[in-house]
Amino acid sequence: MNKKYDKLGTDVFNKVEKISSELFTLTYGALVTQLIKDYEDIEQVNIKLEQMGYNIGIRLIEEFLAKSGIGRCQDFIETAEVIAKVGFKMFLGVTAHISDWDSDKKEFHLIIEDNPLIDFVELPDHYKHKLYYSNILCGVIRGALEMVQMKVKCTFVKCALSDESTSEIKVVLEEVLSDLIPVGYD
Amino acid sequence: MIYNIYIFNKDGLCVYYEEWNKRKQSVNLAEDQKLLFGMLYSLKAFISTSSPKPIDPKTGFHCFKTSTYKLHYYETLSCIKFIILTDPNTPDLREDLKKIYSSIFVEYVVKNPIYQLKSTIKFYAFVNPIKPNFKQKT
Repeated sequence: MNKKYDKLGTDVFNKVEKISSELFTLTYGALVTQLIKDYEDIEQVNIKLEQMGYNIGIRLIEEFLAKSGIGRCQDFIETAEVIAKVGFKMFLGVTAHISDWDSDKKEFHLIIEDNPLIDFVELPDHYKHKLYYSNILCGVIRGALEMVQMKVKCTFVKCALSDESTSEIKVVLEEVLSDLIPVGYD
Repeated sequence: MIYNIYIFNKDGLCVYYEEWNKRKQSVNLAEDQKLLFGMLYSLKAFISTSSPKPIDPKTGFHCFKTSTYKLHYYETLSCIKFIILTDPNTPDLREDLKKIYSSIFVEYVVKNPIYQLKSTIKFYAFVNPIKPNFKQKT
């Protein structure tokens, strides 16, 4: 199963349009800096980044489905594989690792070793363990999965900028929504 | 011969409707759209409960045919439904519906920053490319 998605990820990556990764990283950096200036409160910045990611995610999923041609995942384990191997590869050009499954298979950690968002970035000491610089990724995952009927909660557990290790996002599946009936439709 | 096309979003709103060679004019378009959506909802429920082995009603159901028209259906995993009514002799249009989704809908609608999700599609960038796609077939 792993091999299959590795290959699909590379194939899709070759298909999508590319932009300069420096431009991307620097633009994102400028965005975060501006948010910190505007909101002052770091907690608010984290929330705002997550919301922005969510708005990206609910649209990004369509491109993902269209370009990857992927079918419905059998279970959440497969979903995790697809996010790490195909999703991350397609939009960020890197793959992530999955670890720390809980016993119910509803919770996993996504480890991003080579996060392109944090290239050239250094956090000042007073922001460490407070600002989740790449929190936008949590929002993207939440938004994208919500559109395919999975309600998840994403949080950063480790950030490479604060902990000097790898970035780690915890994803918890809260609920699988029914796809038959739209909310509030009668 | 293509009669008309409907696109429903996740919430059951008909975001796009266009007709070409429809012979019978609709009395109440909004009512028709609701009826169609309701019918598909019931049909999907029936498909998933009556199948002996689990199938995905999104991909398992392609079309149905009556003596006067054929309804082609494609639903994405994100619950966007593409429906086309044609004359009964048209071959399966699933691939064309997929193409509308991936090369027109995603490119011109989802990626359009002005387009508000959950609103109807009115701009010409989407309407224009969709037309020649079907002109060939009509």
